Amino acid sequence: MPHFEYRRPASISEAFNARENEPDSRFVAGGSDIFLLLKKNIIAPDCLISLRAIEELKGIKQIENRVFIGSGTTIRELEKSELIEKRFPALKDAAINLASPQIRNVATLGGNIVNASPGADTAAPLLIYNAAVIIINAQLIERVVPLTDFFKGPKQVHLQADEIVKGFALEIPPPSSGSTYLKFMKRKAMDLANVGVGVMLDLAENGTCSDIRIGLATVAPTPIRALKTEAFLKGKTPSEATLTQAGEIAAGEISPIDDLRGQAWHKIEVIKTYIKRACRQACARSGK
Amino acid sequence: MKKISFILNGDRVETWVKEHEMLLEVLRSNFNLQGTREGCGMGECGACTVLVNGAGINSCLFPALEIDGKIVETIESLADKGEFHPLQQAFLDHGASQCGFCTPGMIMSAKAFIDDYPTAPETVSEAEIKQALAGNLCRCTGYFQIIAAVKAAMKEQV
Repeated sequence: MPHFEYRRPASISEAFNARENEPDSRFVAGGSDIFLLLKKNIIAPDCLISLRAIEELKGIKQIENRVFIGSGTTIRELEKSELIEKRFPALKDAAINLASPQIRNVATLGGNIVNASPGADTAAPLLIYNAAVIIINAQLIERVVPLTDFFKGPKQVHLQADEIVKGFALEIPPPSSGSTYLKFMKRKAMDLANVGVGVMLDLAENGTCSDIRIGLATVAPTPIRALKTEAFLKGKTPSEATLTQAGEIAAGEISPIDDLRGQAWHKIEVIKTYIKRACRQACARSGK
Repeated sequence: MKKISFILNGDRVETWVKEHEMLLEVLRSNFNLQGTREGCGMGECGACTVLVNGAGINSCLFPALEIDGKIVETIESLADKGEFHPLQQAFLDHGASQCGFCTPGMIMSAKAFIDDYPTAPETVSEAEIKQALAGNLCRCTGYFQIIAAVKAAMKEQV
């Protein structure tokens, strides 16, 4: 491990003070990505500023029809939260299949999103729950941006050096809706997503789709919403034929690349099937 | 160097650590607890698994400074006065250890899982055990025996 200094501020303002005193520094949360970059000599900051001891960044709480999740909340905490299980089942699906128990005990929601892997497991669920990112700067002024506008490119987000992601605000979906996240992997565990599909779907009394959001991972430079597919499905009955068509439309609005985990043509084929499967499962969970 | 103080295998301890040191190095060098192994050093293999406040973590990726004030359990904490812990005994009975390199990490992951198991442990499924051990690799391919050992330990009530 290369040498670095390590600071453990207890508050957000202390974290910014540390940042000001250490020009060549980086914020680190659970470290399950950053320490790998250090060990591989990809980054070599003089100082790491740990966000782990900052209570203000932790916790899950409901305020009216929104739920706020602190950026320092671990994936394990998401996995075990009754509120997440009840209101945001797709986020629970993503949490239980993210890496290993050991990693989930340290990795945070904020870290998973700020790391901005195109295949970030928590991204598609956050997208389908219309998540907003709450960002705080060194003057302790907050700004809020929709998650869709936060991702800039592979491993890049719109975040300044003097800013920290404080948390995320998720919209509670209608109680009649169902949602799910499906992850296609080569192995059954401890693997990154080859393709990830999140769906939130609500059915009207007549069985047509009154509301739908689809989030996709690993099939574009950033996690994305499948807006064309959503527009197509809205107002339609999710029959086998309609879902097959939806899969074709989704295949047309993604831009996967060949990488270690799979080839682009294969991801396109998987998307067609997974859109169908995820919609079916969301319908089943909606209880209508 | 900074001084940290924590509970290690039931005893309050103090030690000096370098800022960039990971818990794994501190356990092995400062405390000579060599049951915790370094496999990949990248959080993939789980050979370095120890419990921090009851939760299994990869000690190769856990900064030693974060341990200050916490409770750490390693494989060395399990046997009691020369008597094996039921999990260790089950691994022995089921031939769940071949070269042994992954065994301490496997057992610590299994212990975290069992300690946290919400309902009657005898009802555990193989799928649950596999999920709990997903972050521990065994290159001697002893998974069947390992899963059987964890299951047996849970049936006999650890």
